[in-house]
Amino acid sequence: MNPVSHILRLGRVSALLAMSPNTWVIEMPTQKTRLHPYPRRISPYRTLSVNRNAFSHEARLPPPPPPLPKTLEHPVFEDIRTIMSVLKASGLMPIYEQVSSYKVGPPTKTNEFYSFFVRGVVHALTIFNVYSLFTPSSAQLFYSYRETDNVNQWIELLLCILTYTLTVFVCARNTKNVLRVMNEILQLDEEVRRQFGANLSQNFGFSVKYLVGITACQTYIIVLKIYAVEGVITPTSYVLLAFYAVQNGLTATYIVFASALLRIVYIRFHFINQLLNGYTYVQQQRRKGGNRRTTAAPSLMEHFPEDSLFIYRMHNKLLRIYKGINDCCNLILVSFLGYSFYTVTTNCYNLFVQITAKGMVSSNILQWCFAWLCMHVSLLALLSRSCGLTTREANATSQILARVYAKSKEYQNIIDKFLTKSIKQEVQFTAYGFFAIDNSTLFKIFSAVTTYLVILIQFKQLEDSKVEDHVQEQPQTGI
Amino acid sequence: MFCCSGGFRQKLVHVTLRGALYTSWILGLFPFTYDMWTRKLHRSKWLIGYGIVLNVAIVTLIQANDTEAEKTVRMEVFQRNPLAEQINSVHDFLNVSLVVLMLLRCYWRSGDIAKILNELMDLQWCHFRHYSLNDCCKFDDFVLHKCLSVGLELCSMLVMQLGMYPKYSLQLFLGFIGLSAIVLVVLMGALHFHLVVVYIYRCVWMVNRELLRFANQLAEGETVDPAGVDRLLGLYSRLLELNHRLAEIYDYQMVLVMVSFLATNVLGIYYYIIFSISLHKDMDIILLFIVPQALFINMYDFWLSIAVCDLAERTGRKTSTILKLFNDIEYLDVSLGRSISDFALFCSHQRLRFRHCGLFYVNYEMGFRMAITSFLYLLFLIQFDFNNL
Repeated sequence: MNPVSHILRLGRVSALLAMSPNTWVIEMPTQKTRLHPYPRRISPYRTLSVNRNAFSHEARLPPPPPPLPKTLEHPVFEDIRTIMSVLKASGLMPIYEQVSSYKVGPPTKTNEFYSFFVRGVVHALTIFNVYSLFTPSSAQLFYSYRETDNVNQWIELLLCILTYTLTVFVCARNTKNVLRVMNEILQLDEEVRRQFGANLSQNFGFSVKYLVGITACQTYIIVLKIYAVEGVITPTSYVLLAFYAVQNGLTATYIVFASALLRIVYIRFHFINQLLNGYTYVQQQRRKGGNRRTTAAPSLMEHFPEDSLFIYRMHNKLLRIYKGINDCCNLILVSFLGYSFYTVTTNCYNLFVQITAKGMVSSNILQWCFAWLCMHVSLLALLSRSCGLTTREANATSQILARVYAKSKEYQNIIDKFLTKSIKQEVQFTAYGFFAIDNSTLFKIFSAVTTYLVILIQFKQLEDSKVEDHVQEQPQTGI
Repeated sequence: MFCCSGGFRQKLVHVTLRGALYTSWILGLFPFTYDMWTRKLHRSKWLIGYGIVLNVAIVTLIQANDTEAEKTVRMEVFQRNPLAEQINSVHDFLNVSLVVLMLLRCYWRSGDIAKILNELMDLQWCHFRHYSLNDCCKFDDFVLHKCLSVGLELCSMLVMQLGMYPKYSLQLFLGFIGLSAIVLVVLMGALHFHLVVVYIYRCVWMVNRELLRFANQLAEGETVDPAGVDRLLGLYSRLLELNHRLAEIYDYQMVLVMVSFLATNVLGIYYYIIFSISLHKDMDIILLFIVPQALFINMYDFWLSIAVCDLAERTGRKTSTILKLFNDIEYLDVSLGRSISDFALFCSHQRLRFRHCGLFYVNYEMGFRMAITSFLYLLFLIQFDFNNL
């Protein structure tokens, strides 16, 4: 059997096991419990375990029947609903059915057909656009003074089309995987709520802001382009421009969505890290207060064995979700980063040419370049920051556990279990394994942009000198 | 040597492997004989002698029937751009040294290669024989893809020869046969490394599957014998050692093969630019089909050699991930816990990776860097000789 399917099966098995002792009391805290990771909770193992004397006082409690959550109507992923509705409408996300508060099902036949239809229209438009690009019908859009600039814009358009088509293909192929990842996140949320009563949510206002920003940027760019074209614009050019803007906007939206998903994972990692941090916190406070070094209070550490098992399980699940998200957007990220890199480089080059050219500065081209740069740089920054945050938080767990290690000899074996398996096992969010995406990616991209900018400028100088030589040679030969 | 079972796919893989084995024997690149009784490969000096004689004869055949210099396309490019001719001669020298090195290393280290292959067969027979191998789709894929790429490389060479050379003659035919044979020697040498890596990958994949089975059993409340985990650790360490020895034997060859692939691609695109831009040629069949297909097949072959190492590396990393699943088992036997910890520590400090000549690890990251670097070199080459373009 395929190991991946084994992992999935194991995931199911462990999830079933986790849910089997249905003795947890559900609490619905009003404040964000993430900041206070110690709500009252009852051991999930107390009815099964015979060795847990530490919890014997809890065993006196009558085992309450498992009350099911009453919030069936509570929509899932409400924090990012705006961006998800855009993606659902454009066929990039499946229009899933909500089975319960913690489960989503596959889309209905009608919705599936709708997504399929939208994707078909997109591909048809793509073919039309590629055809227009290769025929003279779109020539009026490439009006620039220099031949190289026109070629650059042409390639940029082609890259945009390629990136978006790839995004649509990959999204269509990964429908099941996306739903699986979403279900895993929801399942994890359910477990966290059962165990700690914590409702993990955060304000995802950035996604809406980015959506507005992307729309504004794209509209501005299209208006600039329309003003710049001389003569009457043909319908083909309008279609090309409009679809180009939509493609750019949707690709950018998908990147914002991927970042939002990563933030969701980040919050979960952060939660379990906060839980673990709680076990290190008291001692740090004492040290700061100048008290003598004492062993941890037994009341603090008594929940550690059960919490550690829960945290280890959550960590494994989160790593799988993290990997799942990476697998879903691998190719899209590679192509987007390539496209983004190309756009940033060519726009920087255009800016350079505009600024250095004497008496030929066009405010239209300057605005166009700035709009593109703003959009792509902010998207790159968002993506790398989200990836960097999540990766850092995922790798922080072992560091925090290492700080708990010295607190009590009794539980060192439990910590060892995790730490031995975390040596040199840092996780990374990669673009198809080509390179890791984190904060350093931004730096790498800009250093690469600088290098290529220098090469392009050198080419320009070579080209100019060749033209000058040619001009000088001609009068001589004429004489 | 090769076990055959299962459906059409497995049979196809089996036939492909057999084909590769017989081709290697014919080309004198596999100087071993197989003893059915002891299930061992033995080095044969006769086969080594045959290989040396055959390959010297092939090189002589190529020398005697060299028609390359008469190619009109080639002459046009070189007349337009003398730098291209100089680089081409360096590239030719690289290719010849690659062939010599491939054969010499193959014969010189044949004793070590035989030991590695015997140990691998031994492992397969003693420990992995009882497991079902049919689910390992990646193994089948990589075997088929690599053999397909070798076939495509030969076809591409044929198309290049016939498409770019206007006059057909016996000399051309003989030269082509010799050239194909020598290219096949290089490709088969790379194929051997590829196949052994794929076999190691499959063994590690099976170790992973066993570990997952143990994790499943424990999660379901069943017991697992710690000796089973220790046995898997023993197998894993043997596989890693084999991998290390294999990488050491093949490192020079694989580095040169990769350099050769990259150089061919860079030069191919460079000639293409000279031909299409500097010589202002119209888009004909050579520009539209012959050169792009050769470049594409080269890239495909290069990427396969990267992908197989990355696959093995990822599978090795997966072992560590699977071991993490033992973390949340509530009642883990002390000795089993110790065995798992041993395994985890071993995986942390020794990984399944391919490092050639101590220079670089072969994985997607390195492949990407190589691709980017070759693009940069292409730019430098164009810039360096911009006035001639």
